[in-house]
Amino acid sequence: MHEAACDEDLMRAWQRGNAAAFEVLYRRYRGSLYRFMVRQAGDEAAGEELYHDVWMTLVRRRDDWTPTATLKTYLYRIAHSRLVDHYRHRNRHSHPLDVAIDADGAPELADTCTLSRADARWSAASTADAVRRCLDALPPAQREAFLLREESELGLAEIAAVTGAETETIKSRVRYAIVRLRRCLEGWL
Amino acid sequence: MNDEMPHDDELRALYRKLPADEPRAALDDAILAAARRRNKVAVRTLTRRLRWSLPLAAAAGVVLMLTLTRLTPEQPAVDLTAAPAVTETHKQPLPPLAPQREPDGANREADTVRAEQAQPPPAATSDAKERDQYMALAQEARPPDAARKREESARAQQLESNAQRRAPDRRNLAAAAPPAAPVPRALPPSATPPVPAAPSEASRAIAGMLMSAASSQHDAWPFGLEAALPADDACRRVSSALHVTCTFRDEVAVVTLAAPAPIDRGRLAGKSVSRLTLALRNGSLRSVALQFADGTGEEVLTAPEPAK
Repeated sequence: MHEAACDEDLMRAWQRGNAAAFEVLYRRYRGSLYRFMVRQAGDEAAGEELYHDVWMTLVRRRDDWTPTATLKTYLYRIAHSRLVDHYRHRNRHSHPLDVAIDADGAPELADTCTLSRADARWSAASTADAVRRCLDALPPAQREAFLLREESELGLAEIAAVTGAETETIKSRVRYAIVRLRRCLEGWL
Repeated sequence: MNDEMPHDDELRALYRKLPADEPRAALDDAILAAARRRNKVAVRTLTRRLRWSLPLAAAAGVVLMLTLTRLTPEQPAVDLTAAPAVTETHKQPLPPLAPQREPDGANREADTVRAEQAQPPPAATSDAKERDQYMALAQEARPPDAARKREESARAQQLESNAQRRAPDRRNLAAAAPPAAPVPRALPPSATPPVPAAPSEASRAIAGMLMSAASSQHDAWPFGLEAALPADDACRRVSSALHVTCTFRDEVAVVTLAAPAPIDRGRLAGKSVSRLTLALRNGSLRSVALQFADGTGEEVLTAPEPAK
């Protein structure tokens, strides 16, 4: 039931009291949202907690949602807000998701991760571990943009809507993320 | 995905090698349970709201209806001279009286009125005073010609539709009503010229509706001047049988008289108690008050059978 329905129809059905519609929605986004939160938060425990918070927020705000925004954007905007809160709570004086990125130059943060097959420490590491480590090494704003694109399959405009940044800024963040990851994963490419 | 976005297929393939981590089942259950609880709370809230809102809305509707009923202005006065048949009658000459008969008191009164129509009234007589009063009232009641024609047309249509809508039931009830009490007549039968048979029911003034229209032959009815209007307290003779004022309980919206004499003035006003003023140039009427089982009532004004 509802499997083929679009997100917005499911959301409206849930607003009218159809609990099954929410279950379909949940199954549709549980994997990608979970991975986004865990990978963005940097550790599984924090990611799980944030993931739970995101869904609870959606449940509480169920009746506030209007079809002016896609549900996917709405959901990831909640996730972005929860991540910002998480970072603020972790470090009151820095806000990693707001790290300034010079679109014309190199990222302000220095690369701290460059892996290669020749590296003795990483030679035994699996590809998955290498990717995960390289992702963790990215600045949070770049990682967020990269994950929203690759994991959640959001478009440029959607990422801009979720993060509240300009589309050009998002492009730059994705571009720098790719550059950094390529450099980090040089031995696997 | 947007083509403008920078992408790297090799890097994407590498990223896809990450395991597809998923939330634990316990986490899924907790979230789904919370969503179900949210639904139940919403349903309970809605039920609680409906429990109060429905009776509240019904009560508000009743209050609103009563308020509107109270605030509705009273129906304006209705000019009863608008009945088309009566107007036609008014234009036709009355049948002449038999010249060899010596009029008695009441007949003299009728003759006086007829004479008034034919020639200017003599001054400084009691009849002249009555006539002046009558003329003043009739003049006051008569609107300008153009406006009166428009009103007549509109009212005729309204009366017809009202009568069609409510006539059958009322007619049955009226047929079962007791016969009207005999009306004292001042005119001897011989004073009236022969006429076609009068309808059994000349007209009715009823609560809110016209029950029957006048006969087309009523202008030939032979009744002379007579003050044979209802003698009860509700109706009183104002002036030498020329004016009769009746007060009807309940609303009387339309009164049409198929009296032998034209109605020069008929006016109703008020809502719960209506006041009907008729100015008759000639004729007699009987009044029967009917009360129906549904609580409504009507006043039937009837021309008596012509004397043989």
